[in-house]
Amino acid sequence: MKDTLQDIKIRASQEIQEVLESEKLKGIQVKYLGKKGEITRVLRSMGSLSKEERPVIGNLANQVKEEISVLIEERKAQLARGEKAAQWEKERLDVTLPGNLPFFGQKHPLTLVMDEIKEIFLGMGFTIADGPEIETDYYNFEALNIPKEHPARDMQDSFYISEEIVLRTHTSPVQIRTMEKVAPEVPLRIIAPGKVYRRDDDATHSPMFHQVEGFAVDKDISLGDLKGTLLLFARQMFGKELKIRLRPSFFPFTEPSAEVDISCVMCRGEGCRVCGQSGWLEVLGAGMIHPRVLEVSGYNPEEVTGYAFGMGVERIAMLKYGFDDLRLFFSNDLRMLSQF
Amino acid sequence: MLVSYQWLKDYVDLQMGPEELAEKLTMSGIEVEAVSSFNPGITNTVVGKVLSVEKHPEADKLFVAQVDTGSEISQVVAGIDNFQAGDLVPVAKPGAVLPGGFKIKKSKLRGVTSNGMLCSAEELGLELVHDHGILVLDEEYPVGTDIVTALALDDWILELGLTPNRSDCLGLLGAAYEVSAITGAALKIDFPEFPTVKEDIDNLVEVKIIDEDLCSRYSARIVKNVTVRPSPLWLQRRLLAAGIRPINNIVDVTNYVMWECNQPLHGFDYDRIKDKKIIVRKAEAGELLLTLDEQERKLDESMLVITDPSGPVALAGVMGGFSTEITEQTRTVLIEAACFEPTTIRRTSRNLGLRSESSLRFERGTDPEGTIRAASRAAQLMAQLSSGQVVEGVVDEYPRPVSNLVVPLRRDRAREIIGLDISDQEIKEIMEGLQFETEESGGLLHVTVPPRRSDITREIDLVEEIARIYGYEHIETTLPRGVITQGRKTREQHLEDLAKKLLVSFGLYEAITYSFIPFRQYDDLMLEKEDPLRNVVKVYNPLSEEQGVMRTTLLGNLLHSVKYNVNRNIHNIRLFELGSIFIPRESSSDTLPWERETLAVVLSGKWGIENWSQKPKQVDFYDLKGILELFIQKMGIENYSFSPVNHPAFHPGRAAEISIEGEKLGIMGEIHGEVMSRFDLEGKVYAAEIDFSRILKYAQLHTNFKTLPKYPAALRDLAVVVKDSISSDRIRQEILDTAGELVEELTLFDVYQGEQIPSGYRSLAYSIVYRSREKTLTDKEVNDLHQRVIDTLVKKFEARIRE
Ligand SMILES: [Zn+2]
Repeated sequence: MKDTLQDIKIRASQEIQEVLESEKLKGIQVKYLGKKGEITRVLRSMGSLSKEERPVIGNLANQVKEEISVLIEERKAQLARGEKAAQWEKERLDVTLPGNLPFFGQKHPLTLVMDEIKEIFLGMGFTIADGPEIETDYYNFEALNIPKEHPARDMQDSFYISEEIVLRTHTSPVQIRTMEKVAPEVPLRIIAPGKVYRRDDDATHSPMFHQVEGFAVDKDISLGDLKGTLLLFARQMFGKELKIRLRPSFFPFTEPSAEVDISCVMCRGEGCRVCGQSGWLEVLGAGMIHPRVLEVSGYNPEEVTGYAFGMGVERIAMLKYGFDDLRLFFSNDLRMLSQF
Repeated sequence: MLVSYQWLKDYVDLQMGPEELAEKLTMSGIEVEAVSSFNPGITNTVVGKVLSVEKHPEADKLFVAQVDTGSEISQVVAGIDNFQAGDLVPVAKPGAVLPGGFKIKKSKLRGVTSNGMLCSAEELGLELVHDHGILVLDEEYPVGTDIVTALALDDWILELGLTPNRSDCLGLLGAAYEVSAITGAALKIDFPEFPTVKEDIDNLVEVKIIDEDLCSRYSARIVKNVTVRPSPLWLQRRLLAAGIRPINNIVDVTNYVMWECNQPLHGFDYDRIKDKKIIVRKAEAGELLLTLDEQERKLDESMLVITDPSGPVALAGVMGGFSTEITEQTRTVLIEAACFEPTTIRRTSRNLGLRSESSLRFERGTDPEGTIRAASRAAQLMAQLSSGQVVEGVVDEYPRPVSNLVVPLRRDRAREIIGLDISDQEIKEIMEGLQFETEESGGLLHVTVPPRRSDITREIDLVEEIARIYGYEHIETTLPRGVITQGRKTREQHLEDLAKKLLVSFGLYEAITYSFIPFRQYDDLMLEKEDPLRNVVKVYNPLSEEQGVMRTTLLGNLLHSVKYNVNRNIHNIRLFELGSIFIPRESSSDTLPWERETLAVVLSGKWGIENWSQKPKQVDFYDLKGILELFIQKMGIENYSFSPVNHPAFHPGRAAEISIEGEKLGIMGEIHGEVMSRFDLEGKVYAAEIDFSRILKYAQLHTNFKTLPKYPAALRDLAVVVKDSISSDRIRQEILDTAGELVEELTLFDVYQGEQIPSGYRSLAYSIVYRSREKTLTDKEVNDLHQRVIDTLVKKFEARIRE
């Protein structure tokens, strides 16, 4: 009987190893371990054994039964793993196929640049102001110290609506409008982004373009403060390593006035085609608000001072993104818009 | 303003090269736009002495010259013999390069060897006035001297981009003052004394100024016995460096001195001035003047003229008259050095389209104190160059003398404004460097500003001088101190930002188009003649009709943008623009128009991104409507509605008006086929235009959080068949009115026409979520409610319920 049990064990383990589908394991289980299975049969025939042999064979039979069960369970688990793997293999995807892109639009690059400028100045405590695009001669020129027949009017060729109404040539009128409202209160820190218009149309001039005006009025604002503010702005806009340079210049509404250059963002000041080999790029006009301008706006120039600056958004966007034709901004070519 | 580096050195003791000078000038506010070599590109060309000239043995029109070039005697063949033995001429040696890249080689002409070429002025690239042929030099130079050195072509031209306030630098003397102030170089402005002939000049000419406010000074000098001829080469060459074409010694001197002194001069042929009387007055309307360019000019009262008793002889400050022009016959010259009022000159030169170096200077304002110096300098040079004699004395009418201005300066104020710790001594030195006298009194520095710096009239102007001469680069970088301010955006600015963010997240790209449009766009949009949008703000001086009026709609520009993209083979287009339109106010033309923010959207082509796994569909009306609905909702507006509308730009059956609480918000729909063809577009374009100012008015961004439901919901479906003339909105509204707050969600999930539905009818299928916020609804309650809804629809719309 011992031999029979040994034989059962050998056959069963062999059959279990050979099974390839987990379904068939059930048959093996029934065949050996079932109520009418081979082990049961052995146990039933134990009546013919001696008293001494019975517990020995009984133990052995249980042991074999246990061993076969374990083998079946192990094989079952093994087969299940294999079947899952086969299933997964069937479900395999080509992960290199392109994905289904989410549907998304984009703001205009000029808006992106203006947003960035706004964020930088909001962080410096500036408030955003707006003003009309069609302006009176007074706000666009007179109040900014540019009387009629002043040669400075030649600097900006204007579109006129009537004798006294123009398309604003710069965002500076917002300065006057805001100061008029707030004076004599200080401090005042404002930026004013918006569209402006000049009679020019070529690769570097558009009859409509965008400016951001900025100004501050307070008890003791100095030219040094202007320098500091612009340096902070330029470094946030173009990078930490950037340098700025102020050159004396002339604007009727500021004095002292300055043209502000930044170190060339293309060549880092080494000299290249974009900066005309100078290593510098002109990006801003600025200065201390002229006492007469403070005065007409309701401030006492003996008590407060202020600085003002203005920058061309297109110019900054061109430098930032590497555009070479200004007119492209207004083409609304989706091949351009979708690059941002 | 072109500044010759060599010429400038006549007046200031410069120790630095042109590049360094340019950098210094630029950094102190006189921008040097370019520094270029004056050498037109000449190499290996020297001064040669002609030893002999003979006819070419084989050719009638050629000549053979022996020339001493210093290193050797060269035989050179020439095409002309306007020179003789002993003359000094430019010799381009074999291997020389002349302007234009023209290379000189040793050659043989009809059997005679030519070792180089004798040059004319043109061949040297110089527009000099001289006798036809080879340029015979008019000064002595050692034989073999490089022609570049001999003609002082080794010069550099600094191109100044002057700001309108610095007209003082329109003269080399002014530039020299500036250079001296910024570099510390010593000035050496010193015009030579000259002999005069004794004669009473007041007997020779009488000057009378009628309009003193337009002519504050008129000075004149007379030079007799002149011979009009070409100027010497040194002077011609300097004029070329200034960009002025030499003409003759008299005219050249007036230009030369203008360049030196920033004082425009005019030379009259004295003998042709009637009665020797000069009257400065406004022109009379209709007066005529034949100007130097032989154009007859019709004058008016806005113009200032120089007249003699017979009438106008010159247009003051702008152009001389033909009748008193300097000619070869001129024997006596009257030099005019005057000061005219800038605005008059500006208007006259504008109106007549005559802008010159002279009018430019008067427009910017000249120094009345400088007239006599300039007239005398010119007289001296004219006499010297034309073998004439200067008559003693000056006729000088100066009805409104100006004097030096004394500007008091608070040095502490200067330090505060600049943010600079500069000493009193340094400030004084800067003023003196500018040649401004200073006087200390009462704690103030009294600065005497000469009239040549008419831009300086008040303290702030002196503060600027201090800052710029000290150097902006040396000013310390600081930040504003004092009260901290908080940066913020207004509600409107927030809403604009949000609007753009939303539209972008819906898949739209932002467009920016010009604010001006051609008026015919209104025809292309087929707007009726009386459409209020045709009431526009016109641009008085547009660049073209294409930009003739300020837009009252964004639609046309966006349709153009669609076309622009289609032309570039981009067909899936989804754009929006948020910008102003300009609506005229009824009253006068001097009130500002109303600038109203407007939002426009266009969609065309396919909606979605096409690739191997998904095929996008063509956009339709409902894609656009969905965008607008979600947009309006996200702006926190609830009570909006869409209703059918007729609009000439849109498909008659596919246009909707959007409104909020009875106020018109905008329009949307499919663009009319006729409009499409006028914009040269094919297929379908869907567009909307919304009054963004109304969005701003109604937007409500504050969210009131509703607690999440506690009780279960009950779901019922409902399909009704109704006449297709009944709008879905009415049915929806009826369901909501009937079931009230118990309807949590109402979704139209199917619209069907076809089999089983009679024609003229359609089936609308809804799913309704019923839920109470107070309790669990029983089945019976839900069924009763749903039945009430059904009954109402049946009753109101003769609806049939589909099972
Ligand atoms: Zn560069």
